[in-house]
Amino acid sequence: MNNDIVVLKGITKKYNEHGLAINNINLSAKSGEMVAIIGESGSGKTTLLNIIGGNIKEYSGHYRLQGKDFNSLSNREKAEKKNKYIGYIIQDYGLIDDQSVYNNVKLPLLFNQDININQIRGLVMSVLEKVNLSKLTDRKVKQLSGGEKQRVAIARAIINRPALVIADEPTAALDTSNTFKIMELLKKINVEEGVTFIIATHNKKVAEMCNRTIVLQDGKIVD
Amino acid sequence: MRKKYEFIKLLIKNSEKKYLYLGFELVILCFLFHIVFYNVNEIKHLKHTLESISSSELYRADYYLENINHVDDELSKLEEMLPQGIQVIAPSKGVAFTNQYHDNRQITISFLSPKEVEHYKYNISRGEYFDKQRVQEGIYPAIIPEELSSHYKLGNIYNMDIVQNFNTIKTIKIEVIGSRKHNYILDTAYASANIYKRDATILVFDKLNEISPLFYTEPKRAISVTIKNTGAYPEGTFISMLQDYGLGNVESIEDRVLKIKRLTYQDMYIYVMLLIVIVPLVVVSFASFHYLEFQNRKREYFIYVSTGLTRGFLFKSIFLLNIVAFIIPIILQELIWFLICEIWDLTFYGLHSLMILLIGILAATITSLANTYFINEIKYDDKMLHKEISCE
Repeated sequence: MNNDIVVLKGITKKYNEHGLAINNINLSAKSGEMVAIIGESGSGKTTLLNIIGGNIKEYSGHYRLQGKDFNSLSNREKAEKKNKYIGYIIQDYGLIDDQSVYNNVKLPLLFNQDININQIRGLVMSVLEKVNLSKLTDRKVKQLSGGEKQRVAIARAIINRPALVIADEPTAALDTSNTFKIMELLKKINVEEGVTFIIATHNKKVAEMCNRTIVLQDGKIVD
Repeated sequence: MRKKYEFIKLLIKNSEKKYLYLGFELVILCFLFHIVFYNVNEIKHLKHTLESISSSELYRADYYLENINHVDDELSKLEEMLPQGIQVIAPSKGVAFTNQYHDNRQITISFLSPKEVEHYKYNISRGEYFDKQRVQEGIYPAIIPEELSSHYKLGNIYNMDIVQNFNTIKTIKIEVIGSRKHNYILDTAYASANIYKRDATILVFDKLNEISPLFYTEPKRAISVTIKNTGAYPEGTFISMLQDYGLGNVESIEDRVLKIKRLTYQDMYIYVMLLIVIVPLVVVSFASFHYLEFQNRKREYFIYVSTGLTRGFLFKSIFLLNIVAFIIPIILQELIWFLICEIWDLTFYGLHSLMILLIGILAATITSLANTYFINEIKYDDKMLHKEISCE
């Protein structure tokens, strides 16, 4: 049985007339897998993750998410996929600094039509417990440390219990100790919840903690 | 709905004061619109009234009476003496008070003589003017202001007591033959003449001119009289001719009314200029606010979109926000304007309010559509979104 969550075939994205951000990428990720995409700055990692995350529309090739052609979906269906099936940990945390931890984490629930307003508080507190931030619910994000911010980003990414989480440099701004703690947390979610992870990183040690590593160089997979 | 409310709270965080300021701007702008439209309407009615009475041919003059007890006879003699092309219309007279009230205002009657009816062709909105001769004995044809149409029905006959010094001096029967939507009339009660809006004054045709004399302004030695230049004499010649026949202080009624109302025209120019300056400023202010909000919050909007915000949810939330931001100040302003009209007895034009409300809804809709479009078009590689992270 094919349990590939993500399948990319021949994905190419131009960034201008003369250059390709990524070139003929073929990649898949199975359910419950933790895949690291390693490459230097400018290798095309963020572009690739944004295609998988549904934030880029103009590219060539085929992208299938949970067996369905992503580009054939309507805008509404794409938004639903992004909300319920994909959790995205954006580069530099992707949080709203002036809002509280609670308000940042609850965002995907606000846009989830299957969740009632009365369920939101309980779900947010539950996921904050999981990432050890239940005591910082009302703290503004800008008042948090780097490690705490990354936990908030993780909490928001997993709150709708997605099948896939994509993380763009989740440990780039963290020290070694916090890097290890965050990766431990991601591994725990991967094992306990069966969530598939695709993690873009330039850090080899982070890549070693994943099940599989793909090397990206100048927009192409080299390994 | 509660989810949209929660989302709106996120959208306006740290911008609440800006929205309040915009609301205040909107209130000022709508007031200005009302003042301008109100004055435009007033000037329109003023001009129509002046045209209907052929005011360009009307003059006021003082005539010295030999016998103050027989004003009509004296004026008839005067008209016989005057050259062809000069007609004596009527002496100055006041309105008659009645025993009836409407909205705490005493209803009055302005009696029009046959000559006044012949020369003053006031516009009618319903029914007919006094052209047709009513033959019923003892019944006076009457034209009511439309404000009294709930009191007096077209075609019906009513008894009215004429009151003077709290005593009934006469009871008459009137038949309502028509009504006027904007009851502006030439008032000659005093030495000078002017156009006034009289929402509680009924025009009654005094066919035999038997009641009007009771309300002539009490003459001393001279009486003020309205004269018409039907011969199209040049003004200088006309005035000189009247002076030759003993008439003094001759002045054009139209010039006098326009001179008195000049204040309204001057205000109009100021308000129109203010509108010409302020409307673009307010539009630019609104547009700048939304543009800057969009630029400053691009990263935030991208986060919303990447966490699964649909266009529908976004549009509905933003539309709700903009409706509140536009419509609540407008409604507040309309309530205040309504109170001002009630207190100062101004006409409240519901059509103007409706127009302002519809423009507000349109503005809210266009703003919401634009916001939704641009937010959905934010690209992941927009320079505003990402901070540089060095890879070491």
